[in-house]
Amino acid sequence: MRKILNIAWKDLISAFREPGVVIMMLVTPFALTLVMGFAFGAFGGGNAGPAGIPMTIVNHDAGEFGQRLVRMLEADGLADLLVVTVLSDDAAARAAVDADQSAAAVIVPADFSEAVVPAGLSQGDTSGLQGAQPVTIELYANPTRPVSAGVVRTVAERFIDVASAQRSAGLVVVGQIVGNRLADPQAMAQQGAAIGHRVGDQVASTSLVRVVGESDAAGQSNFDWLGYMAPSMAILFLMFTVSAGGRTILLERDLGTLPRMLTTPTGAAQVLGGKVLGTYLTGLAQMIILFVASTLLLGVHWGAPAPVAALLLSLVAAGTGWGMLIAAYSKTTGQANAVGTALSLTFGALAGNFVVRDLLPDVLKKASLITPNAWGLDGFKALAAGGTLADVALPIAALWGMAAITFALAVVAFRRQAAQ
Amino acid sequence: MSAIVQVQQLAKRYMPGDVLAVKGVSFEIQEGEIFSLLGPNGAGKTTTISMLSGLLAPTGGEAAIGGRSILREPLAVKSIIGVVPQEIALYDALSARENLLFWGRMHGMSGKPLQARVDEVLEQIGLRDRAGDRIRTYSGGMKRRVNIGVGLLHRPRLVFMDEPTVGIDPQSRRNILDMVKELNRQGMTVLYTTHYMEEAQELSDRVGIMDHGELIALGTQRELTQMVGEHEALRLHLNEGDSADKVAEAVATVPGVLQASATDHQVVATVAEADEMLAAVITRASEAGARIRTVDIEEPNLETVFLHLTGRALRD
Ligand SMILES: Nc1ncnc2c1ncn2[C@@H]1O[C@H](COP(=O)(O)OP(=O)(O)OP(=O)(O)O)[C@@H](O)[C@H]1O
Ligand SMILES: [Mg+2]
Repeated sequence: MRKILNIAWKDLISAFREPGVVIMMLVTPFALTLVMGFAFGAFGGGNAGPAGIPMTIVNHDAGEFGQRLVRMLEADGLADLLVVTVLSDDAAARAAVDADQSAAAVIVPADFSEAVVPAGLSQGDTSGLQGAQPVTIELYANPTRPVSAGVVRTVAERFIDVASAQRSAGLVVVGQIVGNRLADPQAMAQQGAAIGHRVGDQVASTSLVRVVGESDAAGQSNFDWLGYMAPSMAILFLMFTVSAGGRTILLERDLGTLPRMLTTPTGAAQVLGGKVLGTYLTGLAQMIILFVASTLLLGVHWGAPAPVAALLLSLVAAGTGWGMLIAAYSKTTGQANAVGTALSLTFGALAGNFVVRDLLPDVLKKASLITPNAWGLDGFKALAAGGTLADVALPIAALWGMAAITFALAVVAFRRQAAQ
Repeated sequence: MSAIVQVQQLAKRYMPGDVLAVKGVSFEIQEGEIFSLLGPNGAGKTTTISMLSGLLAPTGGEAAIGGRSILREPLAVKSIIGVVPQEIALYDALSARENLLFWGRMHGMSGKPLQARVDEVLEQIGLRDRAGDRIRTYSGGMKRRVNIGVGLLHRPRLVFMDEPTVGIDPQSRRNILDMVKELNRQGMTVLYTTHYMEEAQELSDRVGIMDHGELIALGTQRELTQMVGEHEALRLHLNEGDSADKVAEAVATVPGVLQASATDHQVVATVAEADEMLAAVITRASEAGARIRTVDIEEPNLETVFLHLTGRALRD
């Protein structure tokens, strides 16, 4: 075991000392994450976090709450973040979004205030509550600026949270008013039940006021491109690292250091074990560095640490298996290099490292299941969305299975070569 | 003295190409001696060493090192030997010290003893000052020295050195030859391969001469030179531009010249009595168009032995 670690450690150090390798392992995936992030508008035009997001608002509500929403969006505190244009025409507001002059349009309906606090409620008339229909604030989001649109959406939702809280306060006030009037206990019980019912419903339906995204694009407009690209690029470039790792076996063979190891009292299995572990550790180090860098520098949220770690360990194992397999069935380093590059890129394309996999045809989606990339990406998507270890049990099992199969096939080939 | 290496009918046929590189060689190396395998390019020296160090499976024959069979107990054999390969086998991205530490661990060394031994070897190969620099930044001669240091690290009883002085400057070569002698004085047995007659002559207790996969002669230098008989050699140094081949052909026709061969701008003629033949050889050479700069008269040496046995010069 000491010799295996000795070889692995030597490989790890050597890999990180090659400037070319470091660029390939760390700089390129990180830079690509940034570039792709920009390309898909993750930064909304600014580069130091979102700022100066153009948005439009159309307020059809003459009541208090519509005015308050407009005032809040225009407040000094948000001046750096949002550049608000107030329009009176829905179509013009949507057109501004379509023309990419605005990240989102917020359209407040005429009955917004009435929906939040029905007229007469303060006089104790709860009838407005009984028939209240959920009212919809429309958020017309710009799909090419998902993060900026997301900011607008969050601000609007924050306001509605506050408004809803006031509404609950209003209900409490109602209760108090009823109490002061010394209404008869039976009526009070009835009204209490009604209010409880109403509040219950309200909780169940999340809120009376809902913000809707722009039709179908709703899901996508909320899509976290950085959160997708960071693991995606890391996985893509992991495949380059592990195939380079496997290639060092051929390189050491040509260089004479592999034969030299075999002149020491070290078994061939130990040497192979060392090379495998070295590749594994190098890939793992790469993934950890990219994980830490994207978390700290880009604020990417990968998910809960424990399942992320478990997924990383299995992902690198499967990658290492592929790296060994490529090396085992290549005759020269040149061949291993070509095959490794081709396979890394093909895997990346199949698995959605470049394009979201959901957009690919079914055949390719199925084919992508032989790649560590697809399983890894699925796992990270689940984890970023708040998934637990149980949610990634399948990818983890699949990746370890893949590691076992590829490694076994590689050993068969290495054995055959050694016998010659 | 006992034999630390016993080789019997060792043979190797390379499958792709079907090259019979070693054709059943047998020899013994005694504990404590320097044994040289002398032979030209392609003679089969490296192939022989590779089989003895367990890298290549022999196609035939058997060998024992320290009484352990190379076929049945390869790991036991490997803990007895140190190997200095012909091609430098080191990690470019690591420093000399890191390389030595790595290879020491591969030999099962560790901790303080390893550190101390690495310092010692660095001293021995004269690279203490540069020990922290990456091998990549070293000259060819420095790399050669580290390459040798790796083979000596674990104080092997027996070390295989495969042409350790190829392609380096005279000073580094001097250091290496002195080091080999010093190691041998300390009790290390050395199997040394070379195609330089002078090295074999300076170092070896016994020499095996290899050619085309065969061991064509084996013995002490005295025994080998006696094979040539009482013959001496006349070495003619020609001007550049003269055709050594043509001159050698002409010289060979002189009655009393046993053999004549050409190397770059030199013609070597084997004769019984150099003094008596000198005039005739020079005359014939001049007739053949040679402009002779100097003539050496040489006592029989390994070069003349090789010439005598093969009809060819060692380096051609
Ligand atoms: N891997 C191989 N496959 C096929 N033929 C080989 C292989 N290695 C060596 N040979 C052939 O075997 C013969 C002996 O080679 P070897 O390397 O043992 O010679 P050598 O005495 O070490 O020569 P040199 O002084 O050039 O190092 C040569 O004809 C060579 O071409
Ligand atoms: Mg050789």
